[in-house]
Amino acid sequence: MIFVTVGTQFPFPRLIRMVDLWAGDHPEHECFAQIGSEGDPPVNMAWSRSLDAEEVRDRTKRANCVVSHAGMGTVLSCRDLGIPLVVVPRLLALGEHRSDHQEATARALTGFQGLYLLGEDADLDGLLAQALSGPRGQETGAPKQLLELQQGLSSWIRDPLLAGRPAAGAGS
Amino acid sequence: MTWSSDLSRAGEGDGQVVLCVSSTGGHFVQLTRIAEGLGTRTHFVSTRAGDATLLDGQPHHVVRDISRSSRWSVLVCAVQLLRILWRVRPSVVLTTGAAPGYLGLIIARRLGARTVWIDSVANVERVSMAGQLARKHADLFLVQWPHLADAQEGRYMGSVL
Repeated sequence: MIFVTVGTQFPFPRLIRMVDLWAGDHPEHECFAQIGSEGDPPVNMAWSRSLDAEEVRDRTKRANCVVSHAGMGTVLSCRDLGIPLVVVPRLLALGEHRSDHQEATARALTGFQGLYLLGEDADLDGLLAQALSGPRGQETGAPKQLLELQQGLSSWIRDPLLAGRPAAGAGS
Repeated sequence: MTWSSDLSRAGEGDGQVVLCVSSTGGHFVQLTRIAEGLGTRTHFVSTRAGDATLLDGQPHHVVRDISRSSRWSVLVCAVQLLRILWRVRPSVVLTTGAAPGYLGLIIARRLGARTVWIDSVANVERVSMAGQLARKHADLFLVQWPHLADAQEGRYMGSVL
């Protein structure tokens, strides 16, 4: 199964149309799309406008491959579960987000194992073929940088000097 | 108006109660990953009831989403946050953004809690708009890319990636 998701914030009709066309050419692959609050529904895929967090997790787990915008929730879930992910960044120029940060996010994610970034050639077919034939990764634990962040925060929270300081802005 | 954290309410750790606030989606996913290693008594706030399924049974509170909405919604969200803060009485409030986290930070600090902004890892080239606004209300302002810290946009301790 291929799971397509546009996340919780905005619709992403360009992505849905793109994968819908691909799905029409590849009836051998079952596809399911979460398409957001607006936009025409796809014709070659089962779809839902929104899914709650648990459904997203279940569908991600069951997928051979996920196709999504450059949203960090999806990126983190796929990374942790070892699911190949095809990323199509939202473009500010096409009004697909409020800023151009997804283009930068996607570039920064280049080279992550199991992550396939749709380039300017927009060769979704080639990318999906690669993602579907590539190795399925292992489920992984928390990476080193996350443990460091947790430790840093934990000591900051427990710092007796900081904890004892008069509350900033506390009035009467 | 202020409070001191009530140590007798503590279940774990050394009595710190942490309130983690964010909007739904990627912000919340990041927040849960970061918070799971803190070893504190933790409450979560997000904008969608279904987000509770991402938690390990920790208390979850829902507030109105204000990412694209009216002044009225902002007011409703602020009142909801105020009530949650009043009941939970956290010593630390932690957020990954966006708008509800920003609002939570402002209110929490005025109530005397220590505040932490962790800018989303999605922001690679510069700190988010909400982050820029939140900076002066945060006791600890963290970015998740080392080069942003080098550019003095915030402090880097690590990242969810």
